Amino acid sequence: MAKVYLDTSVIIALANPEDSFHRVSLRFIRGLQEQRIASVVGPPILLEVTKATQRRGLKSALKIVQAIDRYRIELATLDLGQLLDLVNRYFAYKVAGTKYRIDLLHYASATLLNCSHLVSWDKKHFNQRIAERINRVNSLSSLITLKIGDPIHTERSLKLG
Amino acid sequence: MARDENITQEELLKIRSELSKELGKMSPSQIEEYLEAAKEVYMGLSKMVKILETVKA
Repeated sequence: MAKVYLDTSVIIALANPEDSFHRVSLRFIRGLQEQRIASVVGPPILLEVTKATQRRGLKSALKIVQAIDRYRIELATLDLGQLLDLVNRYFAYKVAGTKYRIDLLHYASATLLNCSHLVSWDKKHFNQRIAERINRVNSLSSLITLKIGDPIHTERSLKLG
Repeated sequence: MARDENITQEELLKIRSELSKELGKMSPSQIEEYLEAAKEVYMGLSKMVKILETVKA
């Protein structure tokens, strides 16, 4: 059964009609809803929304929260100790450097939430090269194998629409 | 001219970079506390969204 973890770049695109990824993101989320495929976000988005509030003010942060609410995306909770342990395991296996800490929190969240897919528009931080390393550590830890891709790629993979 | 309220993809990258640096300076217990505090911020925002939608309707 597919379960899709949405990286914040997809939420940002949904929240902003001017974003160049808005229309495809909208089509993607509607496709998931039509197929009754669960879409979730995890604890790292809490940090990103808080930072957005700090940098840009309440109205900007409200738009992100509004998008999560409007498209009925589940905000999943996790055992934070377990989450940080998995991120440290990724560091121990040199999956990525420390400047990728928040990204690794997303990978770890998607893994611990047993998601089949992690979807992102940010190809620099969410790509096959890093996914292979993540999945190697996940496999050693008897955890799920994640499929990484942008909404267009995942739409095809899940045969949406 | 009023500044656009929307967060851009470029800004998200800056937010992530800043957060990664901050988290790197924190102990695991501080990160947990930070996440708990961020959850409260989010819940407050979520409550505001619901109230504003009710008022709009």
